Amino acid sequence: MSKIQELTQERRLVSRARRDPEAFRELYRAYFPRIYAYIAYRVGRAQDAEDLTAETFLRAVEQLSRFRWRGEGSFAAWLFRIAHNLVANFYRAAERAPEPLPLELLPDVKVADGLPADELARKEVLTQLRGLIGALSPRQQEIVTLRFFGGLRNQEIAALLDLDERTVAAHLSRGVRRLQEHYEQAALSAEEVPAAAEVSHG
Amino acid sequence: MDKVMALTEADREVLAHIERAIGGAPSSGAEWDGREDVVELLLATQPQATGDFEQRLESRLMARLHPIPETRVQLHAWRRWGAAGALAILLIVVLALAAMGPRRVWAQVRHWLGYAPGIGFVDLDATRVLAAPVAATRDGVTLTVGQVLARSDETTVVFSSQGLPREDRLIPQGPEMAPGHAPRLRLPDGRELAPETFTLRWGGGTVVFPALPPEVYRVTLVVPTLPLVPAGAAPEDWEMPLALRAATSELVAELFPQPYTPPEAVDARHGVTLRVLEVAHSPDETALQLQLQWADPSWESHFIRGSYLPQLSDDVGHVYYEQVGGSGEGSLSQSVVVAVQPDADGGPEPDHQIPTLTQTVTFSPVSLAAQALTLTMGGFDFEVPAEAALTLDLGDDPQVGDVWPMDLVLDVAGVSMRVLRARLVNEELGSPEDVILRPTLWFDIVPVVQDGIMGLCGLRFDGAVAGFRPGSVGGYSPQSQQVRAGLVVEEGHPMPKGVIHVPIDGARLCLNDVWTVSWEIPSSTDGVETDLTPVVIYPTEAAQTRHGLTLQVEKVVLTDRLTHVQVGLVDPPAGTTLSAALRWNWPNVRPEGLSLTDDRVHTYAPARAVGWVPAVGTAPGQPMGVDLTAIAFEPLDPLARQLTLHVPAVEIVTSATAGFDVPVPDGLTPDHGDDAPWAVSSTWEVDIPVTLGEVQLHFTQAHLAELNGTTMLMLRSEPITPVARLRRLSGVSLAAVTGPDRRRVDLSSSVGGAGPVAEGDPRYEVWLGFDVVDPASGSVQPGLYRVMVGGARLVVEGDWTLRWELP
Repeated sequence: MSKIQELTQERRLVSRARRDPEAFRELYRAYFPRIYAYIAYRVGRAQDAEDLTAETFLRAVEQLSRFRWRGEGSFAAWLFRIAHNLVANFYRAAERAPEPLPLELLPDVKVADGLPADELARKEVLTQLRGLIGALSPRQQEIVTLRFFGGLRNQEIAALLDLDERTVAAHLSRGVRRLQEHYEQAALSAEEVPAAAEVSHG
Repeated sequence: MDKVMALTEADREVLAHIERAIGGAPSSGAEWDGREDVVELLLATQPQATGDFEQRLESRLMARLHPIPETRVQLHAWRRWGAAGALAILLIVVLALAAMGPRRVWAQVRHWLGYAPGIGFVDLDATRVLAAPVAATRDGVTLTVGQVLARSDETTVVFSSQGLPREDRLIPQGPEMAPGHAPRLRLPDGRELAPETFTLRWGGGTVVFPALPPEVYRVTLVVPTLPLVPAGAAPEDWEMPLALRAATSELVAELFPQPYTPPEAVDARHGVTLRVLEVAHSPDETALQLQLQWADPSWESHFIRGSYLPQLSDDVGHVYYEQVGGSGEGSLSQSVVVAVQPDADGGPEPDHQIPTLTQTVTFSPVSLAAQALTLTMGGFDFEVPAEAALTLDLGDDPQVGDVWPMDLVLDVAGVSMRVLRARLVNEELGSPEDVILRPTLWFDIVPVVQDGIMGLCGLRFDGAVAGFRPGSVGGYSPQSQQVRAGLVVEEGHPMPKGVIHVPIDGARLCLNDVWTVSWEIPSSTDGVETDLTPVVIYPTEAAQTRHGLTLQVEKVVLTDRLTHVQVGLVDPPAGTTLSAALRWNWPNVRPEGLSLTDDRVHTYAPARAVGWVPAVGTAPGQPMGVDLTAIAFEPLDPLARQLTLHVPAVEIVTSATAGFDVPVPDGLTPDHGDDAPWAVSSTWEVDIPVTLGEVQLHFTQAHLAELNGTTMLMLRSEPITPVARLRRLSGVSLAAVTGPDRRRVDLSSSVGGAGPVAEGDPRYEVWLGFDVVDPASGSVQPGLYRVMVGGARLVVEGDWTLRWELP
């Protein structure tokens, strides 16, 4: 399907969803994985991610009649804005900051090439990445998670965060470069620990 | 907004790499060891929801997108979803039932939906609420903020006052809140929110403000003056600090009555479906969220109750009355079907929406003994489109009193209607304090075929086209199904004359049937067994004889909601029956005369908004008649051991009959005089003595009057001077009236009663009235009328004091 066809189909789907539950079901199934992944990366705890994901879609149901199609990406931006605001409220209301969590409280991670086969091991990778992302600036964290887990394009992120698209691209690029640096440093540190131990024991 | 950042070459390389990775460049497949690309790692490490959360949420969302009606709807897309959605919900409930009791099931399935008294059924997701009421007392007056709901689109505050002077002893300031006196909501930064809408009650109200900023959890309610209370009558300038909390499922369950969805609570007739969506029980009220759906998309309805009040009854015998002004305004939404136009880009033709009206109605609290409830609606009204027209030649000089016989059949909204006549009368318009008489051209219209179920009960003319005031006025007689539609002459404009063309651009359709919805109340699983079966007492000792009548308490029913006392006569004279235990000793108005007291010197107030009708023997859906020989009081004090009922007077009916003739002269026309509330003719003298058993009265005057949508002959008796402790005539009942051509007169509009001759005058008079219009001609039929009176109503003064012991 061409891009034009995809956009036309989504627009019609959104229009139908106001009065046809089947259309809303299609939208839900299309966006649920992305909404959940984005929220899960931001809040960490699986239970909190479920609560906020549910709130996002419930609000979408309530407010869909007020949504106005404004072109490509406008629906995704609208839906993720709901999720984005809920995550922000989540932290503000409880005056909490992102914190390390036990693995069992984290959401599952999809099986993928290159990832450990063991579920807990995959969660360890998730924990590591959350830690790396948490070291970025708040703006970079937001944009990286929206791009890689929300699946939003730069144009959609720009609409959501009310930024210029070039600014979004710049934050994304520099955020990823910093992630790469931190990731490689962390890997090097893990390799150096056994050598230090040998020295100390030698 | 961040400043615009420029992209470097390095940025562009990274962005291109990201695009390639997202585009699906294959990975090596080997396990990562810390040297791989973090972009690929991020793309691979995708959190996913555990278990069946995604499916459960999908089912919950589908359940919110209201299921389709089960019958009569031919929209195939809705049918497919409805079955799947219902099955999904059923699976959720079945699985949950395996792990929890029924009460908790309801809580789990619907725990985000709550009922907020004073507001209605609300979705409490992402809502900030008041954890407990906040109250302050000044000078004996207590202002209580009962609840605050801060939602994403609005903030609702419910508050009330106690300790105020009685409303009827002060002159309310009126329905409008004076500028500067409206409640406000002050934010922490000092900004104040003004109300958007409000519903006011004596000293309180429900006020809707704009939405609070997301991070605000503390606000101050500022109340300059208590609503409707005159200045100076109560403390003013209240400031109530309020601390809000985010609604959690536990808090919601603690604060708000948990609604439940009664299964299969639906009744569908004549293409109209009534459904009870949600029910909530609180100590102060019972709330029902009702949904009305109908098949014809051209019909409109704005209020579910319409001309027919809803009635709620339980399986114990209680009848609960609607509490208007409570939460009744809390939740009203209407979906008016709109033929959605295809998208401009030529998308597929969309399905039509089912017309739906959702409304919350509140009743008094339900008895704890009730296990089932039944909601009954006696019919519904709809505004329907209509296109028809009629033509009438008014002549060159139409005058008030002119009648134009017509015999015109019109098809209005698919119903054949016959226009009988047009009449030009002076109609009373405006407020009681500022009455305006305006010439009005009335059209009397009846259905060609009387359909007991469906018929037109109103018509709307386009008066402007015909040269009158825009729109029209109207009336309807349910007994005769006659519709009246009137064109009003615009003030300052001359009366139209000559041939007029009157378009009909709308009609009101009345469906007269009974919709009945019953359901069981979910039982509590708290393990407490309480026997709340009503206690029935037959106090044979509670009897007393006064003036030849022995009045007795026949039966007393004690429930947790009322004390119901039934009185009757012991061995009454032949042909005499008890029709009412009077609340006061007429014509002396002592409304406190009828009372129930106990041995603890407690006087029981009348039961509020709840009555009693035994379930056995009452036909379902039949309207509950008013039994004036029974009185419902508030529930009994558990420590009471003796009750005393005081009855100041009773009304009895004697079956004596009498007949007489009365002439109606020719040429009389009702007209409005200077002080007449309705059109009356000149009075003529009659001499009609009537003997009804022991009662004698003498009709001496007659006149014609425009009443009850027709012209009636009114008879008035000569003044009667009451003698203390004797029986006084309070009215006569008509058995039959025969017109000059031996036509049996329709008595559905007849009147008969008694009342003081004038204010302050101890004498009283009796009046009697019946219809004298010939249906064929539409005009008054002069001549001799034969009147048969079937009985007399008499007031017998007491007092009766009836006392009995409680078991």
